[in-house]
Amino acid sequence: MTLERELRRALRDLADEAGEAGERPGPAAAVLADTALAGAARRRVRAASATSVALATVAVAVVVFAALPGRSAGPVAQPAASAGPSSALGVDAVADGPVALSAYTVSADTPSGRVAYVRTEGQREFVRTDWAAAAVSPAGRAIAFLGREDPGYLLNLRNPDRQTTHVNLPGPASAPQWSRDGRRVLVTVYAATGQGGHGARTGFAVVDAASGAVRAVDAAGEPAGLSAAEQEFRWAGDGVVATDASHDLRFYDLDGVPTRAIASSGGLATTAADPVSPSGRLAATDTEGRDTVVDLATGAVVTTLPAGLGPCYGWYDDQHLIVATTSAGGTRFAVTSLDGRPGRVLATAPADLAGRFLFSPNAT
Amino acid sequence: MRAAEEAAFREFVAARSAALFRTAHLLTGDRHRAEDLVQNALLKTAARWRHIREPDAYVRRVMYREQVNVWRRRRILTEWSSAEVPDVSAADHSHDTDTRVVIRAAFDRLAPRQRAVLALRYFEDLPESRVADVLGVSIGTVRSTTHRALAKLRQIAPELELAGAEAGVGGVSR
Repeated sequence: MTLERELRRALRDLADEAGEAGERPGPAAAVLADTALAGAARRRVRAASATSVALATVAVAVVVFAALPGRSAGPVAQPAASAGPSSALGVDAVADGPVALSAYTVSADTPSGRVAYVRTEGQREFVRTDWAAAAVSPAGRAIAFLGREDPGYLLNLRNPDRQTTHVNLPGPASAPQWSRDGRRVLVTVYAATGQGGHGARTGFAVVDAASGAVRAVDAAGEPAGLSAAEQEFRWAGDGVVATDASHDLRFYDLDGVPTRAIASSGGLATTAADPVSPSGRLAATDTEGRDTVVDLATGAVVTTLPAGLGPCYGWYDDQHLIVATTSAGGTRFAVTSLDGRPGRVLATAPADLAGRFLFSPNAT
Repeated sequence: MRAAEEAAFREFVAARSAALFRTAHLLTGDRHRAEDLVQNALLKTAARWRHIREPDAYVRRVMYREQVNVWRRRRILTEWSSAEVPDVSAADHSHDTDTRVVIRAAFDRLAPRQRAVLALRYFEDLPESRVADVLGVSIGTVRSTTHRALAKLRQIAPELELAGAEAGVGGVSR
């Protein structure tokens, strides 16, 4: 790890070269702002002359999106150009079964920088939304989603009848996750900041899907130094678990009372929406960039996946992970045994399709 | 843009431009190109200001992607010129070797996407999933790029690891 440590320090030094000691780096902020505002104004003039073309595009988009489910609360008409045609996974890209790909997000030119694609049970094709994050319930019929912003102050819950409830959260929150029984949704809550982004996590909130009741819990867990995805709370049986500043795993009950801690070098696998296995016995973790599995009873690393595999996207069942492998041909999400043997492919995606991929159990 | 929005934009620039400029300088290694990068990204941000809720994340995404694309266009030129960069690791074995100079030279010899990934991972301290998000590539790509970039750095500047091992934490930069 010496190289990484040196690199961190050296990159900070390089960035510091931007300004001599004590000097504010770069041109004066007022000059930058003036130039940007003037340039943006010129762009608007040019854009106005192209309005008739843009209107035609929107009209087409409205027709397409009007045919999609839940339009009033959900997908809003907008030209689909920003995410590109390759972002929509085709029917052939996804296999159905007990566990299937139900939602994914891709980069897009939106306030959050992402849009979510979802499909509910029985739907063969993914629908593009303008939501920043979405998760489909384990039974496959309900959706929890943020609006266009991530983090957002509002959690939206759409029930199987496509009625949407809007739930106010105690602070900016991200990444809704369903409990395995499909009754509750967990979000991580952050400190609000004035300008852009969000602060450190302050705790989590659990929302009852049927009533919309929110239970907000303050459990900061000293997250300093963690990056956004590492800060998120995840379900762990009847409670939750989060990675702390030393990358150890810290478990809490739903009142925010710490229940136990397990030493870890890399924390929970950030790509797995549900890093804890269905039985609650194992957790997918990250150890020095390799995917590992920790036995939660002993805290021991019981599996390290081969170097070419990963990252891990969660659990298929208690004996199998869902692991991605990317090659020039694309990314394959395969049911993978704990000794690293890939089996059935659950989904394939173009190699450059970025974002979160969420797998959830179907109703049986 | 309404007066209130314009004021908010100016406030954002005043608060964040120094940090943005640091990132831009790291990415470009050149004061003028760093200014251009920040200015262009702010222009795009101003044009969409009303719709942006996370301006800092937005402007960074623009900067990183723009830089990778610029690099992509300049690739042939870059590879040509980097072939002429003297082999830094062989040039100076004295204990006075400035780690910063070594890293700068080594960093400049990396491919565009490699530089961006290392900056996001080790300067911005983002996890792989967010790096993938910023650059608009898959996590698999981020992983393989990081791996290859670190391997290349080890190859170009083997003394980096030695320097760290001998001097311990905090003992190298002067």
